[in-house]
Amino acid sequence: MVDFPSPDAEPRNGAPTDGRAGDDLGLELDAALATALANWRDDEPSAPDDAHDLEPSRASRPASRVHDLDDDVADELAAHARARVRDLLLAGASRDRAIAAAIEELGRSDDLAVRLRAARGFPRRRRLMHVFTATVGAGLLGTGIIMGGHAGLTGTGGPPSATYETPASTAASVAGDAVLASGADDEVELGDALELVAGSLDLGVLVDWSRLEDFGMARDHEVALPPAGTPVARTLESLASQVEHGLGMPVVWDERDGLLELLLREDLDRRTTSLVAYDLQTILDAMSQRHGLGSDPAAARVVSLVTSMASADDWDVRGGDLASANVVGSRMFVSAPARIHDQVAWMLGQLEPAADAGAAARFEAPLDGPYEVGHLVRVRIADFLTQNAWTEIDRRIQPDGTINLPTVGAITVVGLHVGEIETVVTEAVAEHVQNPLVVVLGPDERLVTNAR
Amino acid sequence: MPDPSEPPTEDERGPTRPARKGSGEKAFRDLLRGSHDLFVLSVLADGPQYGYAIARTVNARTEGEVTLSPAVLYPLLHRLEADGLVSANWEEVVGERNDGKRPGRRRKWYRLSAKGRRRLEQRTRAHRAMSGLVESFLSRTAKGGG
Repeated sequence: MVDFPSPDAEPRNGAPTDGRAGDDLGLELDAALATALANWRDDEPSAPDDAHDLEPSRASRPASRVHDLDDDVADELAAHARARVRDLLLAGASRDRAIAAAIEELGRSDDLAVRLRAARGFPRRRRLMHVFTATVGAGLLGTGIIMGGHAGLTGTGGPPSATYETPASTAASVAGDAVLASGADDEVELGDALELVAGSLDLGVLVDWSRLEDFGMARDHEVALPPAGTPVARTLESLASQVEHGLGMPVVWDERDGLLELLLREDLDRRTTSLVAYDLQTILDAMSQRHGLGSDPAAARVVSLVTSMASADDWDVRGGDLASANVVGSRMFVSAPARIHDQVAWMLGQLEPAADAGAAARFEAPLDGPYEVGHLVRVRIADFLTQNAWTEIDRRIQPDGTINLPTVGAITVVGLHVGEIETVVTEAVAEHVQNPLVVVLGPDERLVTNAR
Repeated sequence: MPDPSEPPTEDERGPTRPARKGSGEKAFRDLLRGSHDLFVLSVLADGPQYGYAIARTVNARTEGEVTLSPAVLYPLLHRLEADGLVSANWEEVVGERNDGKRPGRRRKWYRLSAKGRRRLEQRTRAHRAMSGLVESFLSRTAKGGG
């Protein structure tokens, strides 16, 4: 048994002992391991013999997927391999054998990358899949934004003026009001469960088992099936949940051509990705008239809002690989899956002047003109990525034209429009908040408490 | 003792689970897979650890029954971190042999958060209640069924 020898074992084969550092292997061995790790990380998986049987999504898996172990992960795995090599040396393995075994035990780099990405992205993605709720107060520059759980959002700003409803779940849209024709008293194999459920809908079943098996989910995975008479929509949700638990990745249902398909959400995302040009002209015009923002900064704010709120993890600017947005003139080009396009379209709809008019009417003079001494400035500063509020303050502009922010100190805002105030506050807090989202609210707008 | 000059065999590396034939082995693996987070949180309850040390402790405490491979361990740790159950920070490791010419290596340490500690307590209670219930049920069933 080579695994995990006692920490007290005496070193052999030149394995060093250096106290707390513990895994210092020496220059030569360190270099050899580093080379092996680099080869492992860059190793292109050879095309399997059964490549012709693979579905297109796997056969054409982009090369970037193979290499997307970021530096932190690479460092962590290197530390693991180094410690493992040291243990193997302590157990009497030769240098080459120890390195080879440590590398082999890491598994495939592309597989590990996918698993890690799923592990880090899953919670937020799942949350967004179920609920995406935002209040739109007074357009982009006066927007209080909340995100939270399924129900009971308890912001202090009263009921939201507009709410994005996640499109009916795929389970509900696929199953309608159908009920399960027959259930099971015990656990059944996933493949059989799917046949049974699809039979209740008079559909066939389509599952790319080789794809799911890549992630450890086989046809004979046992799942619980509810009793006959259970709504099929609930049954599909339950099955999806059980499969997600086993996979550690979101799955979705799709129904086309008389077939009920169970697939990874990332596969459906890639299937439905399209490039769409959104016309921002009316929104930019409104922002210019109301807030004095130029076209470019206004467009940048729109992009920031969209990429921070609509499935934020998936945008390239936030480390994702599913969606990207670029503005040219008054057009915003977005490449994204259908579910993200839905959210983008809704958000832009809320920013249209017609949708904004009611809320804007509630604002008092300062938004239409520069802020003066004595005016109340209400600022919410949050972190873009986490949406956690850093601070929410009310400050009247002092005779010297400044407001005082905690930690930051006095900032001159007299004579500025809302957009300009947001700009100077953003710059001022940049040292304290990593991704500042600064919102100046109107005097009759109550601050919205983050519901998370 | 295996020959150190040869690559480790499957038996040497693992699996370290006991041989369980057929569906028994599969059921055992399924149960274990659902307990990995409990193992990791439990190890971290004793204090901060880095990934390899966590795997090693789990292996030792299960007397070799459970080996968390990197493909299982690190996605699990990263998920626990994303869920706020553990926090992590990097430490630069400088060995005695470092001559100052090489950059220090980094090691990521994980520690249990308050949320993670609560989750561990919940999971432990639930696991013990479940184990007791199942054991009690099975023993009564065995007696009743002869």
